[in-house]
Amino acid sequence: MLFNVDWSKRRLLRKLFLTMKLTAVIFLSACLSVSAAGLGQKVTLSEKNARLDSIFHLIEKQTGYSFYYKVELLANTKPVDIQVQDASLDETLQKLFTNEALVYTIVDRVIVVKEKSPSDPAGDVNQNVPPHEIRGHVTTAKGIPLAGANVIIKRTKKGTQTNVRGEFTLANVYPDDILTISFIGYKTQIVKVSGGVEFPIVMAEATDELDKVVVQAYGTTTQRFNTGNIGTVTAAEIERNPVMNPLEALQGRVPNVIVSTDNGYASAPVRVEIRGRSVIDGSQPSEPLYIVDGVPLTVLNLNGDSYASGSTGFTQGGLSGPAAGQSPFFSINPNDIESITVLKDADATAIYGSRGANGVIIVTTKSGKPGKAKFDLNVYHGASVATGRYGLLNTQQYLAMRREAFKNDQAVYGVVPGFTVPDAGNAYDMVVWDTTRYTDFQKLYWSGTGQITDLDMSLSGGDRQNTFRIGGSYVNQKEITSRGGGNQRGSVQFNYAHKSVDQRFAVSLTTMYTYVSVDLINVGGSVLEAPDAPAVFNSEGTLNWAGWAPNTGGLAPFANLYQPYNGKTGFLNSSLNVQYEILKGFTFSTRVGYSTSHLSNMYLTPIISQNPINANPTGTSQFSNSNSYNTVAEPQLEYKTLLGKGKLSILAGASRSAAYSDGSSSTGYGYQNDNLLRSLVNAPIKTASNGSAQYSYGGLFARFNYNLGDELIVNLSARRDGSTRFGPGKQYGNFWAVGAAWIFTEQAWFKNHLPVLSFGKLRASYGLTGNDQIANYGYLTQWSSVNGIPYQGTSGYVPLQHANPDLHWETNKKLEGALDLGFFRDRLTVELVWYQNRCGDQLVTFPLPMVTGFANVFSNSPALVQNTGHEMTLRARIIDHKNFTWSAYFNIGYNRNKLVSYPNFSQSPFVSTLQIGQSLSIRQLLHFTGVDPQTGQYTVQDKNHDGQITDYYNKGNNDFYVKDMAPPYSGGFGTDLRYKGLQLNLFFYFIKKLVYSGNLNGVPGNLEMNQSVDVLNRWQKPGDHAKFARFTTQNQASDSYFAESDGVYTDGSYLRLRNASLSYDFQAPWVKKAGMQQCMIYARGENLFTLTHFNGLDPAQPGLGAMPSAKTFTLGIQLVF
Amino acid sequence: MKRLINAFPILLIMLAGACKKVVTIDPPVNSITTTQVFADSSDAASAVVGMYSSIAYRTAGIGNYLMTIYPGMSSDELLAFGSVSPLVTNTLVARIAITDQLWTQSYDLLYKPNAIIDGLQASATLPQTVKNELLGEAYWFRAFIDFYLTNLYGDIPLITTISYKSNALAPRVPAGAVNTSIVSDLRTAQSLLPADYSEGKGERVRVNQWAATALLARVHLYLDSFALAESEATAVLNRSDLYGLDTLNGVFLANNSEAILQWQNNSSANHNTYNATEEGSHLIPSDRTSQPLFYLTEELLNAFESGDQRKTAWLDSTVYEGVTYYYPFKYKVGPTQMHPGAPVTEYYTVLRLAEQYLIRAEARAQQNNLGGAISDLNMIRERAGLSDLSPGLDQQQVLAAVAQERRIELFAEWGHRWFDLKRTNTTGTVFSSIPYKSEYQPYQQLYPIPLGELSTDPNLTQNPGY
Repeated sequence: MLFNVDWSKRRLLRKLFLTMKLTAVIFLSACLSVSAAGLGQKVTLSEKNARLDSIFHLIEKQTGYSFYYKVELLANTKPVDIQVQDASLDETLQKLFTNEALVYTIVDRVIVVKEKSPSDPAGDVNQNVPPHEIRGHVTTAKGIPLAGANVIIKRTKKGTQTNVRGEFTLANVYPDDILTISFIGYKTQIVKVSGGVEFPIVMAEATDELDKVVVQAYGTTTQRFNTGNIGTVTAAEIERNPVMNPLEALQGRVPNVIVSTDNGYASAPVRVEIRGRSVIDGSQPSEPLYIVDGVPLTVLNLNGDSYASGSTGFTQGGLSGPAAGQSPFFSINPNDIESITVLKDADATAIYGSRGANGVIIVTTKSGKPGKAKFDLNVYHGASVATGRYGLLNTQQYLAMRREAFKNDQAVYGVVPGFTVPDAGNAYDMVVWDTTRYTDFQKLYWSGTGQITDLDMSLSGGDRQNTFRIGGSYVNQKEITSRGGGNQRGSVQFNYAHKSVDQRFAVSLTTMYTYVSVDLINVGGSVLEAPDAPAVFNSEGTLNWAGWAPNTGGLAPFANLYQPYNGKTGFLNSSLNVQYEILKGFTFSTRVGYSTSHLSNMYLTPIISQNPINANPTGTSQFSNSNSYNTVAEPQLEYKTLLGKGKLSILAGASRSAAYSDGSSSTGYGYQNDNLLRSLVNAPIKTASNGSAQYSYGGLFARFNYNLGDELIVNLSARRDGSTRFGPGKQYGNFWAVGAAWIFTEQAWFKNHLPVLSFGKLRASYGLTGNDQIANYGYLTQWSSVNGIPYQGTSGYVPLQHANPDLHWETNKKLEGALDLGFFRDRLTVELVWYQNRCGDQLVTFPLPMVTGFANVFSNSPALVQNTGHEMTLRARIIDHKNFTWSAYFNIGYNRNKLVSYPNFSQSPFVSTLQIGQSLSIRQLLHFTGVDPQTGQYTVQDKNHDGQITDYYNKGNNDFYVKDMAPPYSGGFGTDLRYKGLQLNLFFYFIKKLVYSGNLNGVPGNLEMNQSVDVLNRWQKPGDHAKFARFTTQNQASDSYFAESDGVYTDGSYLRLRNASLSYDFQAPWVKKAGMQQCMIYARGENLFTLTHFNGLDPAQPGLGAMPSAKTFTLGIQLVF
Repeated sequence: MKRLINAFPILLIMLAGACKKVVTIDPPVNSITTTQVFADSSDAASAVVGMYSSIAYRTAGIGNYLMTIYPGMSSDELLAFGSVSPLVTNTLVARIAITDQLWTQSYDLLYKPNAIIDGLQASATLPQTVKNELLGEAYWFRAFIDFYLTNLYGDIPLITTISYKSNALAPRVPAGAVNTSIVSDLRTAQSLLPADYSEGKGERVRVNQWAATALLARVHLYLDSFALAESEATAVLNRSDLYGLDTLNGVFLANNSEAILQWQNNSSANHNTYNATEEGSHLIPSDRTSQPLFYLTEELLNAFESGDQRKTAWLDSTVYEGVTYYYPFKYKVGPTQMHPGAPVTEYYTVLRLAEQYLIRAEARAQQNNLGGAISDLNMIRERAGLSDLSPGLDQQQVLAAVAQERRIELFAEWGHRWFDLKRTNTTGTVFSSIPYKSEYQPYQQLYPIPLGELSTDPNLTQNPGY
């Protein structure tokens, strides 16, 4: 029926062209809308003399697709006959429209029906035909108008933008013109004018990586058009990690973002380092700027000079507890997060100028979407266990080691009582304690099973004008240690957005409130305790102090079991955004944000936790409060227009941010009775301290973005900021960046010669960002009565710091070049990045000799530190079928750190620890040359052949080699497989690094220091070739040389299955019958296995005896109503 | 549109004006600046009091406990229970940073008098009389800390300012120059300080002229300036209205008549040791069957003459696992008596009159005034229940008697024994008969400079041998 034999040649040709055009449209639709893979939907029709709209209705019923057309379009159509059996939608539609002057396109389950163009479909625009004016209306699939969408005539690269109602008009359009309609986060549509006048355009949300909305500084963009380096972790990726702290889900997801924690507690502070260490002071973390829903999450450090050891997070009152602080992100429910965005280069971060030097992490929480209200219920429960156990000496082996050590010592020093002869003082483990006892301390500590139960609920929905989301969650987690504590978190998140009927005014409010309760017990003891150590508890169930004599110090860590720590935190983050379009393209908006945290914690040291032999032990209680407040107000003006052949957007704004923290702590000493501990009133001696800090910064910023024909994009940003961290005259700094991108695949040559390359972009950026992250009031002299004990009734003042009035902004110059490629219609995308960051005027806690009175001063270091590196990200949709999808991704980041220059280096405090031209993470190490078969002692190389081992602080000619400890590369890869409702996601993390050897615990043979079974391979008699030196109780020079040698470091590289998730989505009819949209069950696991050559238990926690990482398994169910 | 673009710069300028005001904050609530501290008398006095509380209430500090145990082990007084310390065997290595605290605490303390001197001299508002008294105390503290530093470490950086930029590059200066500075500071302090205990409201817990004089006597003795040592000691000893030898059990009590300077204690504020001294709380075991932390060497025990009442008054013992251990019992308030708010009976004694007798005895003996020396020695012996020395002793015998008397009278106090062995060059001879000190070498007389200091101060050098 397609070809009529009666047709003239010319007609045939026209028909052929028409078919080609139709095919092209269909093909294009298929390209543009992957999710419209519903072309396989089967249709059966048997209609005679039926109206088109009734047939449309039947098709809608059978396929679930809907038609979109202007009613008047069908006015001139005649009734049709149609007969199809199990035909595809396309076949059906083609058949249906064969004799009609209509064409269709399928966009995201919407079939758009339009008038067929009468013109010649081939060739260039025929300008002989008079141009005309066209009108259009751009909406989403849900009918919501898109204001500010770009409608461009391809021929001229000029066009217009839709108004607030999504409407546009364009004059001088030729019938053959092609329009491209684009809007951030939606697939770009290409529409042929074909002589049409009215254009209803329905935009489908982009699902591919290039065109999805990504969050940037003060706005949104897409990977296709952005000029900076932006990495995003999505809600789906975050949700798959059964962790309480969302920052932990970042590990391995974005190249060159290193996430680490100092201890195993879930609430512990988390450090994030982006693209290497930039400051010369190794103890200071290069923390990025965190922004949650537009509000900077700043916690001011009140604990004096404690910044050197990293922020303690929310605990600022002076009591940081067993976890050494509390991460602010522990108060954010990962399930409320829509995305975490990492901004790395100057172009992406410069607009945060003041504090973008170390990168920016933007957390955006979920919001409601228009549509039927959706109730989402998600529950999971999980258990975690230690990943393994160390192989340690048992009592017999341990005692044999000790005896051998004394024997060896006697051979060297002779029989000297109190020295080389075991007695009650130097060998109570052999002489006083019961040598038949055996305690498996690992079992004692880590036999517990961690538990996590998480319940999440949310209700969301909305219409064209109002959307909302209300989320609530509760998590209960128990730590892995045998007698550890537990954590509980309850949170609510609320988002409401409103748009006026004319769409010009918009307001949105996002608020999250979280309550966290942390109960910790510091099981601080060592699993390396002597295995014959006495019982921890006596028959009465209290601590066995008498049994542990004379070394009650060994039992002391167990006293922690009776020393509870409890912290309660409330956290509120709220952000209000108001936006008004004053004129077309000209929008004023203001964000006002507020966040506050209140933490009160308590730590008790009761009498029962103390050795009664210390006569009159008394109880101590510590109470502390920490509060922090952040406010931000950011009025902005944005202007968007089409200018020349491109799109221009200008953003200008001001930012005023203020933070205030205060903290107080009170300690009660001398309690005579444990029952009174929780009340300070009963303490005979009380001390109290408090502190507060204020911080404010204000700045002006502007961004200029010009996109020429979607091919060339230039982005300029600038910012001027003032910060109170600096003294008078030093407060202001100027920051700027330039970014540019060239999408070279817009060139016809690539389209014609390299069709496999669907997307190619070259981008580069250069700019200057700053940093003011240093303690408050560093420029002031400060005196305070700190120790709290008055002398003769007077509280003495002591100086607190060296004042440095010269403190000023740190500057970080960042240069980046990148190549983004998409192959096979963007099913494979590759991002290759090269960068160079140079950090100068670094704000550091500058180390000083104690002769100056303080060990450091807050200062700008003259060092110039460079980080250069490469990053690669690959994403592939390998199989993309309705029932079966398989995608994979991979990223790797290399970073090389270098101290470029340091004026007058020989007079600097780093002269003996660092070297110009080398990494900041170098260690100077002797070269280990094995165990001497004659003496049984470790030997190291005498590099300078001066007959002795010359120490590293002997400046110049010493025996040390330089070794870089910084991980040269790390990354992650994963795969997502889906077959119908069954989904499997795997995510691996890998890192290359050197770590401290996993089988060493000081010098084997020493009192009360158990060892790895590896040490049994030791020297015993002359002639032995052994891995470990002789056992001894007397450490000698050779032992300390060994400890400073490369012999104590080992390869700690590993590949770990960080995360695995298996889920099944019941797509059975009973789900719908039960009133559900979705019913899914899932099983997830963390740290399931590790591949490594490491010689210890867990390369992530390398030291012998360190608590290994936990393995977690969870089971859960998600129901959507 | 053009107009709108033009509007941006205007807007930015407007906002820039507002910007100046937004970046101001209040001063910190928990601290005041140097200018504020030295603007009025009470704040300035608090700064000086800050020196005392920093030194007196430091747990395990150079000002109270570390100066007993470290030099005690380095010499031949004390042994650590349960382990053989490199101090005891005189095999210190720089890498094992045992003694580093002495250095770091000292310089931490030293900043305070320097900052006070700086602040006081710059203050335009303080009355001169107030300035003088406070300056005197600050100079004394500086000399006091420098004295211990140079005697422990030899040549040291001489820090007299608070400028971290220059001090961070400070080289070591010869001990001689340090001693000149110490003498000069003490002379200044002498001239500025009151001759009574008015500053301490009658308690002997603030530095006065006699604390400066007593320390000056000791410094001169160490420098072999015997005439000066004698005259300074005599100046103190002549103040019999203020000072006299107390009973053996009274010497370490608060404000006893022998005390020239003590650190005050306050049991209702000092939550570390309450009414006990740092020394009493550490050195006295909790009961008679517990092991001690430190115990007396055989050598020291055997050095007590028979009948010396100090052996019973200032020593006590415990029996652990069948072995008797003797420990210093000069401070008698130990763990069993420690109690919050309990009456404070003992203060930590810094300078006492008995030492002045011994200084003068040695100075006189060196100047061949043997009779004067013997009479001073007999003052100390008589109190210990010992017979007088024979008047016919020759100079060497008197000097030996001085050394013996110092060893017994001043044992486990402020490292006297260690310094005496060093300054009289007798370390090698004394140690040669002690088996566990067989590895002693003369370089061990000076402690190693902390490695952290060597790496942060490019001009600092290590003591030879380390």
